[in-house]
Amino acid sequence: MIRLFASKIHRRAQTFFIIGYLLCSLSVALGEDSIDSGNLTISPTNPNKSWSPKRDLYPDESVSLTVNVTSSGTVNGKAFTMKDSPAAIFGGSATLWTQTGGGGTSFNFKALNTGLEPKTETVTVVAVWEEVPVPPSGKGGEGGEGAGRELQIIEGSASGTASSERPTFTWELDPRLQFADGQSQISFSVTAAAAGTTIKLQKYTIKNNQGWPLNMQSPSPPNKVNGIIKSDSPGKVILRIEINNIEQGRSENEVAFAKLDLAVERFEGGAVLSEDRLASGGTTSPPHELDPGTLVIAQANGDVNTGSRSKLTLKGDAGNPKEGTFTLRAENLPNIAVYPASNGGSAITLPHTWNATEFPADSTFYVGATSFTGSTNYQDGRLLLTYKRTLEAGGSEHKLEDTVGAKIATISLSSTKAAVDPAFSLTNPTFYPALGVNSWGNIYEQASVPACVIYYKDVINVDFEVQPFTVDLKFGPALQGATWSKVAGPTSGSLNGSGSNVAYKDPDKGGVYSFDVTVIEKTTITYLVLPLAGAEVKNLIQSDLLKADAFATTVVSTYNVLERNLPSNGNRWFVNAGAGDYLGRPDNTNSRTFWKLNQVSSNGMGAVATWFGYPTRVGKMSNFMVGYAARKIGVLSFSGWIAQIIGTSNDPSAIQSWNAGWDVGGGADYTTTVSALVKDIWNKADDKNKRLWPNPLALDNHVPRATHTDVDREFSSPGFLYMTSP
Amino acid sequence: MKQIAQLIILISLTFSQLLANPLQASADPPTFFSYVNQQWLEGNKKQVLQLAEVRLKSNPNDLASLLIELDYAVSFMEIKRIKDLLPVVRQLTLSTDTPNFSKEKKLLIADLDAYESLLPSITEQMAQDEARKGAIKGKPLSSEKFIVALEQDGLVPALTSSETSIFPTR
Repeated sequence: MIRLFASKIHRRAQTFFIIGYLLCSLSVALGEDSIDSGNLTISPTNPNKSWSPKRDLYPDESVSLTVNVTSSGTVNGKAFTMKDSPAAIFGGSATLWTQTGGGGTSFNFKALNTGLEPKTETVTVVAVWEEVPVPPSGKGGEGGEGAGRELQIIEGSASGTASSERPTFTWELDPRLQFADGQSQISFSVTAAAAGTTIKLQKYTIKNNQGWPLNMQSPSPPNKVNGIIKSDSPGKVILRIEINNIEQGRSENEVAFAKLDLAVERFEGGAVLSEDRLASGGTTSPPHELDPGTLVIAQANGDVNTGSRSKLTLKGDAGNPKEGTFTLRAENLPNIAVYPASNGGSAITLPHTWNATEFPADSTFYVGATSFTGSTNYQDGRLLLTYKRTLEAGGSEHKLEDTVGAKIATISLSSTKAAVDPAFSLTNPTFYPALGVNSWGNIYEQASVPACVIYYKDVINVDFEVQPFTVDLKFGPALQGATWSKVAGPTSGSLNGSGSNVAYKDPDKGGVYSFDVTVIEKTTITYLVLPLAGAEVKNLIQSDLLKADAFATTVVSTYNVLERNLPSNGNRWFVNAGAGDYLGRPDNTNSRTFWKLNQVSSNGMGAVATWFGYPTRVGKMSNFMVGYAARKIGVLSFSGWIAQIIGTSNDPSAIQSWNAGWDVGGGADYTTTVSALVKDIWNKADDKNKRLWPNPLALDNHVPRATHTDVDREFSSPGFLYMTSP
Repeated sequence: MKQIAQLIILISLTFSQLLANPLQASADPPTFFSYVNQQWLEGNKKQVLQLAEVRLKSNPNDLASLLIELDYAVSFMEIKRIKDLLPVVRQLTLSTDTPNFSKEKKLLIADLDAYESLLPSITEQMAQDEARKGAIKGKPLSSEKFIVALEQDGLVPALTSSETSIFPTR
C-alpha cells in the first residue's frame, strides 16, 4: 500500500518537475527578482515543517525553497530509515511553484509570480520512514526485539506556501479626447502600488486594442510609466498594462480619438489656410486659419445675397463612433452668416448642432455676412466646430474643438453731408439701402447696392452753388494693399489719397459715382449717389406751348366766350383723366434719375424733373401749361376759374406756376419767366424735390399720351395738347 | 355673282334700317343722355331743344330738360333765355340731393356762377358774333356730367318712340 502511494507520488513529481523546469527557464530568462528563500529539513525525529515567504509575490518576483530529507534517524531508540524516495506534491493549479533542482533527498523549489491571477499555492515534499527491523539476537536466528510485530512508519512532510498578488494601478490620462490626426497626443501615466514594496514597471507594457502607436518612457520613479498615444483613426479604447502578455490592470477611463477639422480659405476663392494647431499644443506661426483667418466683406443693409463668401470645410469622419454631437458656432461675429451654397440660399442658424449619426464626414459651407446697418463695425472673431461626446467611466462629457478666424470687413462711404433717412432705419448715414430700379438693364438695381447718398439741398448755398464737400471711402480694417479707384460717374470731383482710407473731394454734378476697392485680390464695388432728378424738360415744354396754341385756336374758333369760361368745360379739357397733367417720370438713358427718391404714383403723378436747371415737381409744369392754355382760350378771370375747376385750394407754388403760364400766354418770355419761377418755387418745395440734383440732359423718354402705358419709364405731355376736337 | 350682290344689298338695307332708329338697333336701347348727346353732336340741336321743351310742358321742374335748354341758350348766345333759366336751374339744383347729382352739384353751381358773372360783360354785338358758333357740330353738351348724374339717379324718364320721332331719320 505504501509502495503504491510512493510510486504515484513519484510519477506526479516527475511531471511537475518537467513543468516547473520549463517555467523556471522562463523566469530565468525574465530575470525575476528573488525576494526571499527558505530551507526545510525533515527527519524521522522532526518529520513536519513548513515555510512561507515574508510577503506576497508581485509579478516577476520569486522565492526559493530548499527541502532536505534526512534518510534515517532514531526515534525512541528505534531506528528509522527512509522508505522509497521522497516526493514533491504541488497544490492548487500548480502554476506558482516549480521544482528547480535536486533529487533524491534534496529538493529545490521556486515560487514565481508570472502575472497570472493572484493565488496561494503550496508545494509539499512528502517522505516516509520505516522502522528498521532489529535482527534476532538469540540462537538460530529466532527471536529479536521486533520479531513478530508490525514495523512502525513515520510520515513526514515539508511544505512551502506562497501567495501571488497584483499591484494597484493608478492612471492619469490627458486629454481624454484628442484629434485623430496622427500627430496630436494623449498623454498617459500609470503608477503601481503594492503593500510593503515598490513595484518596478520596466518590464510592464501598456497596450490598447486599437493598435494605436504608443510611446512609453523609462519608468522614473520605477513604479511609474509615462507615455503618449497618437492616432490617425478615430475610436475609443481603455488602456491595459501587461506583463508577460498577461493583463495586470486597465484604465478605468476611456480615451478616444476623433476626426475633426474646420478649415477655411484665405479669402474668397483663395487657398485653404494651414492648420494653426500644433500637435504638441499651442499654435504655429501665422499665417494660418486662425490668423488672419478668412475675410468677408460685408454688405450693407438690403443686400443679402451678393456678398463675398469664403469656403468653409467641416470635417468629421464616417469612422467616428457615431456618438456625440458636432456644433458649429461663432464668437464675436454677430453678422457672420454660414450658407450651404456659394451664392444665394438661406444661412444656417448658428449655433447649429448635428448628431454624430447625421453629421456629414466632409461638408462644405460658405462664410458670408448678414446685411448690416451703417453702425455695424468691423468684426474680428472665430468660428468653432466642437465635437462633444461622453466617455466612460461615469459618462462624463468631453469635447474637441477646432477653430478658424474670420473677419468681417466693412466698406464705408461717409460724409458729413450724407443723407439720413429714417425711413430706412439707418442709425448712421454711411449706407443707403438701395439705388433706384433701372428699367434698361442698368446696374443700379433696387435693394441690391448700398450707397452713400448726398442730397442736393444739403450742399448748395442760397445761390444754388454746390459747396465743396468730402466723401470718406474707408475699408475696415486697414489692410495693406487695399486700393480704391473710381470706376464710373460724372466727370466731377477727385479721388485723393491711397491705401485703405481715401477721400473723394468736391463733386458738384449729380449722378452715380462708383468706386472699386481691391483687397486681397477681391474687388468690391460701392457707390456714391448724388441722386438726379428727372431729365431736363425746358425744350419739351417750349414745344408743348405750340401744341397749346393749336388747341387754343381750335377752342376759340369752336366755343363761344361763355362756353370757354365754363368751369365744367375747363374740367373736361384740363382735369378729367389727367388731361391737364404731365404724367410719368422724365428720364435720359445716359443720365438716369434716381427712382428711389423720385417716385411716381400709379397714376403717373409726383415725379420731379429738371426745368431750366432746377429740380421741379412735374405738377408745377402742368400748372404752368394749364395757365398758359387758359390764357390762350380766352378765360376772363383765371384765378377764380382755376380754383373752381380744380375744386381744391392749391399751394403757393402751384398758383405761381399757373400765373407764370398765364403770363407767358399773355406774351411774357418763356425762358425769363420760368427761370425766375423755378428758383423761387424750389425754395418752397418739399424735401423730395430738394433732395434731387439737377439733371443736365434733356429727356429722351417722351411718348404721346395715347401710347403712354408705363408711368415709371415713360413721360407724356398733357392730354389736352392732343385734343383735335376739344 | 349676281346673288352675292343681292345679298350685300340686303345686308346693307337691314343695317341702314337699324341705324335709322337706334332704339331698334340693339337689345339695350340708348339712354336718354346718350341719345340726346349723339343728336347734339350731330348738330340736331333744335330738335334736342324741342325734346326738352316737350318734357318741360308736362314737367316744368324737369332739371335735365332745363339744363338742355340752358345749354342750347348758351350755345346760341340767347342771353335773355339764359337769364330766365338761371334762377330756375339754380333753385332746382340746390334742392336736388340725389347721390350722383350731389357729387356734381358743386361744378354746376360754379357754371351758374360763371354765367352770372360773365353775362354783364357780354355785349349784344359780342353775342351776335359768338352765336354762329352754336351751329358747329361735334361739341358735347356742356351739361353732360350733370344730365348723366340725374339719369343715374333715376330723375330722367326713358325716351319714348314719340320723342325719338322728333329727330330726323338717317
